[in-house]
Amino acid sequence: MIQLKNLSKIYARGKAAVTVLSDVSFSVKNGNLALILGKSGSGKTTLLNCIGGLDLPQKGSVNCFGIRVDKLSGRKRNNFRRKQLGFVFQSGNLITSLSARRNIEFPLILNKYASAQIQDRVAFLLNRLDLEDVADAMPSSLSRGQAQRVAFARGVAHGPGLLLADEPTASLDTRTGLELIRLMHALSKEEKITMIVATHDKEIIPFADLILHLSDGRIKGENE
Amino acid sequence: MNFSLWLRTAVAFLVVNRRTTFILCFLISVAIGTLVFIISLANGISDIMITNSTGMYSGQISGGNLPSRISPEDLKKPFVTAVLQRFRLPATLIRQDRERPLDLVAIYPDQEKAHSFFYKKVIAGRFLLKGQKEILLNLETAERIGSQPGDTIIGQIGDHQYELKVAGIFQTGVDSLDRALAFCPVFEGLILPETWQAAIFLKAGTDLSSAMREFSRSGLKMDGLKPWTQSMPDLTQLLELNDICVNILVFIVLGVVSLGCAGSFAIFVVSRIKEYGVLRAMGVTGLETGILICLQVVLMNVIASAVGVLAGMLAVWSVGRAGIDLSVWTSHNRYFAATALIFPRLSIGAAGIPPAVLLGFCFIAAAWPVWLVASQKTCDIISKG
Ligand SMILES: Nc1ncnc2c1ncn2[C@@H]1O[C@H](COP(=O)(O)OP(=O)(O)OP(=O)(O)O)[C@@H](O)[C@H]1O
Ligand SMILES: [Mg+2]
Repeated sequence: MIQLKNLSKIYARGKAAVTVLSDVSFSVKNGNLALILGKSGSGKTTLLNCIGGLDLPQKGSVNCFGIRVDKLSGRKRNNFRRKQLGFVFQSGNLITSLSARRNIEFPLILNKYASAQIQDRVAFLLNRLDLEDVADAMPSSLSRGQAQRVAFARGVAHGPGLLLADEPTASLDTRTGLELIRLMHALSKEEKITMIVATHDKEIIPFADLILHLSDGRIKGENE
Repeated sequence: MNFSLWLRTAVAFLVVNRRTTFILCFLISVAIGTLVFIISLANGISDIMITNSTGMYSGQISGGNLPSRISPEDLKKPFVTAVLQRFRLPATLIRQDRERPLDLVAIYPDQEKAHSFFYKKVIAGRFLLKGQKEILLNLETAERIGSQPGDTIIGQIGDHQYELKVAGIFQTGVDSLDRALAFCPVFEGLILPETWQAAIFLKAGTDLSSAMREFSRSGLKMDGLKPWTQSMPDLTQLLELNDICVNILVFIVLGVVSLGCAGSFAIFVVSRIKEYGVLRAMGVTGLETGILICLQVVLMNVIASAVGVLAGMLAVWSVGRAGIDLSVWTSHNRYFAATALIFPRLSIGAAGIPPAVLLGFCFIAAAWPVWLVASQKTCDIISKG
């Protein structure tokens, strides 16, 4: 269970304080896909950053699987991200000097999986996400759709409890984006990975278990 | 820590950016190779200065006032090529109404000729012949008393007077020899003093201080033995100065090279800053990110150093076969009195100092790009896209 309570985030812009998130509360059940919809500047990225421990809120709490992420020390937050979290960003996700396969391996090695396990897992993901042909290609030669699939594979490789995706389809055309979401949805259901996806892509709505409308840093509506 | 992961990632980074890696490596190798060669050359110059200075007359180790119970044979250790025996006689040279006090040194001319190259410095007449009653004057004295080769002069030593034929006139360019010394062979009837002087010549490559230790261990009481480093403080200082200059050069050249390297990596890191943000998001610690960047910098420097040292060694070897003749620039220089043919000599310092200094510098060079990443919050890096 992911649970946010009265989360507020204020940025200082010059002398003025800008409230980017105010009193955000919601919870996502394990294995569910939550969608955060909102216009540009509504605070989606900031919200994901607070959940993933990349940024700290001024007020409120973030509870991931019983862990108070906002209360963790820097080192523990790091460890939490390493083990429990996967990220997919809009673009530029991959380490450009590593092949698709090496990118996917990365979190597994980071988490000290045995090499046989790493091979199996990578082979499974490459197959599942239709990346076998480009397994040894470098990121620069991948299409955008392939690159996002590799990013997703890397995000879930180490079996994290939570995957945070910030506009994963924004760099893709509708069809490719839909394909990506379909794969992400299927795999996360299969492996019971909770997903929180920030987007303004309406095509994703049918896959969501929970939809949160974010506007000016507030939750304006919630549909199951 | 997953060291192999960081090593592999760093290697991958260098391989993928191979063009830049190659250019940087090339630059570093050239710098290192040049420095290895320059230090070797400086070694060679030092060698030749020592050879010239010690080979002229004094030997690498000189002994003053050795008692007659010690014979030259006693000093002939395995690492010694020759022990030249000399006797110093305070004398007054008299020609007609002119007199000149000086030290007359009695020598064995054939031995001198075989081991020192003092005999080459005769500028008029000839060098001394074994057992003859003759004298070799320094130029200044010859002029003072107005004497030419072929003249006969009187040498007064203590109460004795000897008639000596002027065999030749010498000038070495070394003040201590040119001012107040004259030479004569040890001849029959010459009354020798109680003590003698030794010029000890060592085999090439013999370590001076271990040779000195060997002598002091041998039980003979020889307080008079002095290595050239003590008897020629001017040369010692000159060589030290030479060393300091070369080291300054090493630091400046490698400093500039490392600055270039730091700049290039800073640009690399800035242009790929998002990758480092993504790594941080994946739970890679700041320390690990720093290690990754350091490894990239250090790895490249190590490879380039190795290539550079090899190139430098090759240059030393190829130049070392013929040597470099500097005689055009050294003809008036006493440190190059006999030869100015330089053979660059590789030493542990020559091959080791440039890479070691570079290694130190490249950690400093890595600090800049590391700081560029470390000084920013992960979420800010990522939002840069
Ligand atoms: N580091 C920061 N300092 C100051 N203001 C910030 C900072 N980061 C974000 N903001 C502001 O917070 C607001 C929300 O930003 P955020 O990136 O969360 O929006 P978003 O919904 O993700 O937008 P988009 O769809 O364009 O990605 C914006 O007005 C932005 O200018
Ligand atoms: Mg955003």
